[in-house]
Amino acid sequence: MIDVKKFHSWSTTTFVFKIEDLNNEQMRREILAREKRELGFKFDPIQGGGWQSNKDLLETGTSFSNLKKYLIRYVNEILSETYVDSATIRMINSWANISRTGEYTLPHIHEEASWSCVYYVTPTGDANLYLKDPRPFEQMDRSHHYLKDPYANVIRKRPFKTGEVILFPSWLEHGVGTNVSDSSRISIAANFIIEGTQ
Amino acid sequence: MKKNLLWPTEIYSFKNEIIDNVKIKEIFLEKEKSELSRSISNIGGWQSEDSILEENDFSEIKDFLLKCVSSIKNEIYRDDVKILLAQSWANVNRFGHYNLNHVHGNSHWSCAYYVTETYTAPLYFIDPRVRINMDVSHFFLKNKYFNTLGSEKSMPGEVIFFPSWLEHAVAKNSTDNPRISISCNFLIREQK
Repeated sequence: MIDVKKFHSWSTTTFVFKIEDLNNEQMRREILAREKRELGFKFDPIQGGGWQSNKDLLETGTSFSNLKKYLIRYVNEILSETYVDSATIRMINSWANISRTGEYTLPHIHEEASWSCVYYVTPTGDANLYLKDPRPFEQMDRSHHYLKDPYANVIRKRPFKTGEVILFPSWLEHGVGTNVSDSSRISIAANFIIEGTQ
Repeated sequence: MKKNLLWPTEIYSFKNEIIDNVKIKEIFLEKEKSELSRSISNIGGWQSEDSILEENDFSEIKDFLLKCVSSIKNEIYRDDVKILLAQSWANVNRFGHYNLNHVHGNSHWSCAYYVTETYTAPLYFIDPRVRINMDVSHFFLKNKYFNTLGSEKSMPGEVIFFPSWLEHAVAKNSTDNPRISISCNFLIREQK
């Protein structure tokens, strides 16, 4: 038997958790009302379409105050294992997203932040959030064709239920698949930065 | 809360206790005197031609490395493919010599086998997640320098296997001891 050690290096860490007791129906109605009042902007169809609110969502109105409180508490708890005690974790912006039939979000990053999260006001159905392998050189390796699991490295995606949250590094390229259902897919995203004395 | 660790980059290390690395070292020091060096990623140092393991003196090392890489192949690739040794070369880095960061673009898996210990000059790897380097929150991490690997010394008989696309380099040898290693490239091919 060969003596071997295997090292799993540079994994990209994401966290998934659930917030149970929020009034998602109230938040859904409030987001749709803001869309009607044009408190946001509509993406061009060539960019996938969809509507995005102004980026102060969780700062405005009482419908979102509990969500903001929970997100700040949980994100701080989760990231405290990663950062020094003197660092502070601050939410810098937040916004709602509505995706209707045929709409999607192209791959992108959140360049102004260190960590980002998405809270699901409605289930995603088949319109999954997807995350792209962040290792560009790896994608040039043609031996992929011969792997036992050939597509494991390209994209990770999964559906989310109402109340679930995913937290991921803001530099990780991500997008949202096409909404092929008749239901509106509604989510709330937020960005966080890490501050302190270097 | 569920924590997911996505897209790890897999690196393997093996050790052989039987090969006579003292004898192999003497052979390479003789070759260094008599054969011209290639100049690729190496800044200084001597690098042999790229079929060194085809020579009879090194058949035991070749057999060992093929056994190691086959175990990796069997773990991650389909049963109907094979893995071939494509190139192999020796490296002698003396005082002040090092290797710049590079990838092996014509290969799928690569390895570095150590004939001597690495002294002050470990092989090190560079975090392949390019965008993470733009994140200023690094300054506040509990483990600030986790994204460069390879500060550990390797010993004679040890070999490290890594994906050929993974950027790597060799630190400067700041001792008077020659640091000697053998590098190899392997290709995955369909069985004919």
